[in-house]
Amino acid sequence: MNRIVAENFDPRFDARFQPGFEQKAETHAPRPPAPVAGARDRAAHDEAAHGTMAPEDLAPEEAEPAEVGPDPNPFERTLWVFAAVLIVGGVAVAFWANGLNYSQSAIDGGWTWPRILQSSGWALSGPMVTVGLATGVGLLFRRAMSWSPPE
Amino acid sequence: MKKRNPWIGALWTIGVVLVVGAYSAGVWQSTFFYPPPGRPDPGPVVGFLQALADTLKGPALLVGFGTIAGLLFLHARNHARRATKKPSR
Repeated sequence: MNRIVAENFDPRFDARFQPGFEQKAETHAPRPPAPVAGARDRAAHDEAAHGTMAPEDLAPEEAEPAEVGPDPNPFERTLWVFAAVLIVGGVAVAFWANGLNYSQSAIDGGWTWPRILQSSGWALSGPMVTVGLATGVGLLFRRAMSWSPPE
Repeated sequence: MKKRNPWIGALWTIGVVLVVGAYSAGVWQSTFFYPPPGRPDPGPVVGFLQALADTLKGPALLVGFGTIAGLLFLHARNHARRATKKPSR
C-alpha cells in the first residue's frame, strides 16, 4: 500500500511530512518510503533532537530489550545435566569397581588392565560425586543470588 | 512483611540434610565393620545400602559443610549490602 503511495510523494523529502501520507494501523508500523539519504538523515536527526522518535525508529541496540522469562541461560541446563551425570556416574563407577574386587584374585596377575581400571574407578568416584553435588548446590546458589522478592 | 528467599531455605535444608545424613550413614555403616561371630548375613539390600553409604558419605559431608559455609558467606554479603544501604547515624 505504502509502496504505491510512495511513488506519488516527492522522493527528496520524508513521506511522513507530505500531504496524503497515512500511517497504517498495524502492529509493526511500516517504515516510511525510503526518501533520498539526505532527507532521511535530516528527518531522523530532527526527530531525535525533539524526542519525537517512535520506539521502532530507534536502532536495535537503543531500543529497550523485551521482557523475557528468568534468564534463559543454555549453560544452566548443561550444568544440571553435568551434575546428574557426575553423581550417577560416580556411584556407578564405585559399584563397578567394588564388584570387580570379587571377580579376580588379588594375589596373582600383577597390574592388569582390569586392576588399573578398578583403581581408576576408586580414585575417580569420590571426586566425581563431590563435584556433581557441588555443581547442583552451586546452581541453587545461583538461583538464590538472582532471586528478587515479588512485587 | 518481608519476603524470605525460598532458595536460601532450600539450601539450608540441603546442607543440614547432607551433613547429618552423611554422618549418620557413616555411623550406621561402621556397625558392619567387625561383626560378632554368628551374626547372619545382612542380605543384598543392606549390602547395597552399605556400599552406597560408603560411596556417598565423604562427598556428602564435604558438600554439606561447603553449602553451609557458602550460605554463611551469602548472609555476610547480604548483611554488608544492607549495612551500606542504610544511612549513617
